[in-house]
Amino acid sequence: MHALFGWLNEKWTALIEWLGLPDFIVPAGQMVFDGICVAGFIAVLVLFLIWLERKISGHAQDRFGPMRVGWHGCIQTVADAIKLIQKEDIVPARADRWVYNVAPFVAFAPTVIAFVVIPFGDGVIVKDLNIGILYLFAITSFAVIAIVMGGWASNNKYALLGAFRSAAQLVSYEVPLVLSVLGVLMLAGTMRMGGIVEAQSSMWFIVYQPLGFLIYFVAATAEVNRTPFDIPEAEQELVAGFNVEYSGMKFAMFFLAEFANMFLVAAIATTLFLGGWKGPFQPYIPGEVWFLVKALGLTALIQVFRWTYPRLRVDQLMSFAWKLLLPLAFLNIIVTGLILVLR
Amino acid sequence: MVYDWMHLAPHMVLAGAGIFVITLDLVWGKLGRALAPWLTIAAAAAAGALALRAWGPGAVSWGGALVVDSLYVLFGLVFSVALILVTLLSLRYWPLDQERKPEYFGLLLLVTAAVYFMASSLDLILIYVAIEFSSILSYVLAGYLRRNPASGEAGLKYFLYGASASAVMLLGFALLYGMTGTTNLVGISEALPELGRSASDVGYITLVPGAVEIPGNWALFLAAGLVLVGLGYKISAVPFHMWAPDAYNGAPTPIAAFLSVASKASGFAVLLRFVLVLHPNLELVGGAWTSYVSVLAVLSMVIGSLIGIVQNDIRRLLAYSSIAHAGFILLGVVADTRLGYASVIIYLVIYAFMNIGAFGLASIVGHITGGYELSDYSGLGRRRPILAALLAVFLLSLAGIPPLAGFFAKFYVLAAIIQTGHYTLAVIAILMSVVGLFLYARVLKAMYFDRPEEAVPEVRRLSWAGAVAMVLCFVGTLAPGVYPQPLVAWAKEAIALIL
Amino acid sequence: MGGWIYTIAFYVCAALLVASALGVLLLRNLFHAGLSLIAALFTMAALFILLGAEFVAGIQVLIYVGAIAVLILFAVMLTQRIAEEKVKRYTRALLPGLAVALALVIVMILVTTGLTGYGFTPFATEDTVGDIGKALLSTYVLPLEVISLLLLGALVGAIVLARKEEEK
Repeated sequence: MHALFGWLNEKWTALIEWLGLPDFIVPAGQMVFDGICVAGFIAVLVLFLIWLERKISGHAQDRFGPMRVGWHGCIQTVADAIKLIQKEDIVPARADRWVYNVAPFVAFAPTVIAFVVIPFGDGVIVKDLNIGILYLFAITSFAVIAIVMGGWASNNKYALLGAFRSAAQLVSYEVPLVLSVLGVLMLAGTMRMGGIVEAQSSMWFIVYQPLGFLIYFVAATAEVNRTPFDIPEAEQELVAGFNVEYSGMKFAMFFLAEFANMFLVAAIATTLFLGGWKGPFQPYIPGEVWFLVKALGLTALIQVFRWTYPRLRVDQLMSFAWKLLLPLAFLNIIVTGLILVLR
Repeated sequence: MVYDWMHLAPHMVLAGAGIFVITLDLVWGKLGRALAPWLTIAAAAAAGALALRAWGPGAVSWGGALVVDSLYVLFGLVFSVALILVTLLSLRYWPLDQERKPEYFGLLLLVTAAVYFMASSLDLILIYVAIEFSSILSYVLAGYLRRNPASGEAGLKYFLYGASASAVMLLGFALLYGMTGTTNLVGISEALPELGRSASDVGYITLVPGAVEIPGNWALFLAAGLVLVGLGYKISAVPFHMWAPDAYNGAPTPIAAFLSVASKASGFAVLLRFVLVLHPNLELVGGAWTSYVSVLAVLSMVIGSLIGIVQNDIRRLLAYSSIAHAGFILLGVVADTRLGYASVIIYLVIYAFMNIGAFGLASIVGHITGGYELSDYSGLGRRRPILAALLAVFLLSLAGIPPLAGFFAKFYVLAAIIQTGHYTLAVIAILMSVVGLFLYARVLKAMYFDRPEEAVPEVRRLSWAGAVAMVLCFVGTLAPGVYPQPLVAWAKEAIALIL
Repeated sequence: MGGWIYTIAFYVCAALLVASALGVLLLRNLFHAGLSLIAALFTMAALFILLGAEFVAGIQVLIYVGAIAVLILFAVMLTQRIAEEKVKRYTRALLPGLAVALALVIVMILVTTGLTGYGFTPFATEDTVGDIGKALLSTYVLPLEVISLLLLGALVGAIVLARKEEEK
């Protein structure tokens, strides 16, 4: 993988030189290439994840799920996507048009640029920022703004209620989420995603940070609005929550962002707690495979949650975050710090 | 790097007591409510006693952020005294009965810890954090009476004003850091001569091209001005005083007393810290930097005294009086001599007793009669001769009548500015003292010469805690007036040790 | 790589920042003004990145966009019919406000042009996160601890002021 990118880069530089174009085209082209890679990866990934979700849902309910289009319905999602593109784009009459139209992009764009710091393998990372994990939390905090924008602009009471719930939930769960990874950062001594993986050469951090992992995973499930924390779009109460008025491609973008986010939190958990691309039998099994196996495994786990736990009530949701997860996260930090100091 | 815990002892006692009081209320509410005021008083006394150990030329620790010296000790004592007196006054202050008291005392303790930090910080970051600390909790305390809309208004106005002022001050800090590359006051002081040289290369501050040129450095001049805005708000000097009358009017009256004394003193502590540390190089701010301070001083004295005359609410009247006093105290800084700085400390110590005394009596009379208008004071001399006499003592002391302590406070400030040749300022100060006398005389007239149009009912009893506080204030107001030498010697030694 | 890419990026970000800051002032719908504020805060983070202060940029987005701006939007949404009500853009204090803004602009220009003469140059560091962490736990450990006290006090104060009435 690494070699492939290096070879491409070399050829590209040579091509620009041969064409006699100015130097800045080289980095600009690299950026465009990176962007295409990430966006393409997300597109394929989400197609797969949606299929996986439907399959898991189906089997959890003792049925098959999609079976018709392709082998075991594996290109069903492609067909659905084509259908969505063809659909009419409906904007509610009294919607706040400008905000309404921008919201799906605000939901989708941060997800894409968040993938910039995900280390898929040794050196297979678009940019290993030295604030890696902080960058991720900062960028993903845009999700709530997109939801609030969408819910408010729809001018629909269900959408607005969904947005309310979502804002309260995301802001609350972001606190234990960020605190839960501090233990890992203290052990790794760096915020760079690559550095964190390297620090797990001898042992995965989940062994030292079991509590941190649990808090992270629970809070992350809430951050991506998955059951049992899906009250922002609780179907039985709010139809579909903040995106009830959206149709066609705009709805698809919210959907895309939601599934990409689910993979994103799993990928972060893999990087922070499960040793990233590290795994046995390297180099026979490449690091990228290990990474995808772990991350997709966690994603599937989140999808299984949906058919395992009932939805929380709003008040339970809040007290769970503030009265249980937050103190536990602090406890985790204190214990980790004490052990590091006394060791 | 030195991390001396003993230097932090007073701060930690206060903050620890504050957290303890709040936590105790959660764990064991009944005990918490009973113990809170006494713990507060004990912590205040302990902090003062611990601070005394730091008497000396100054020891720096905690990465250069913290300094404990004689100046800090004297300010710490003022804060502790203010906290003890205000706690006694708050004990039976009736509007507080409907609110949560342990948190009230806990927040008071935390504010006091914050002002202790203000008096002992040597680093721009710590200074800013400490100022915000004390300000934010003061907003809460000013708005503590949730059933009283005026209290909420007080908190909100105080907050809006404070937020803007501290933002402006932060810009000044940023400029200082940008020019010198350090946040430490000592480091800034050492870097100033470098700036001064480059400034003389660059040129002069040109106010009007070709006409008014002051030797100095534009950026430093601006930074000093911006910092002065933040401190001017803290000490409620004109033109940064607008919040004071509304905040003192609406806040719980004991809190108004605390704000007008401890908060003001903490602003002066930071101002003195700036001036004394940067002293060797302050000329670079732009020629006679003291003239900028003197503008604030004159404005405060004139506007505070004149507008105070037309107030009919005792708390507003005292608010304007405290603005005028800020002007008087600033005169000591204008003098820019050891005597001048000593006079600032002398003034603040005496002012603490007499002003808390005046606010305390406003609180007590408000407690007994339920009113704060001057009309509620008519005939007080007959109804409550002792209270009226005490209030008269405090007001006359505020006006500067010998042999009360207020006279000596004004005397030393005036001596300092006359010694340095600021005769105009001295004349203005004396004139404004006379105007101030008229301001306080309105209350005296109401108490002793006015007859109440209808009988003023007494709705509550006088509390013994308030009475104790008033006696303490009375002693504090009288003793330095009769025998000022120890205080004066102390203040002079404090300044001599560090300048 | 050509430094002028950064120059272009700076001017784009600066223009966006000014535009969105104006939007906060001029938009009549409070919700839109809040969104504009988010844009302003975000572009400011971009400027921090251009200055090499990634950590500050990350914190800026996390705190201001992720928490404070969301709370502002939340408050706007919770306030009944606030968005329909066209907010007055101009107050009687327009002229004094303009005067203050103008004075501030002049101050900034004077200071930024005046500052070039001085020897202090911003120090570039590779490991901003590590340096900030070390500074926070050595030179600035006391301010850091005081901030924690400040937050605790503010939290208690906010709860005391906002709590529900107790049942007697």
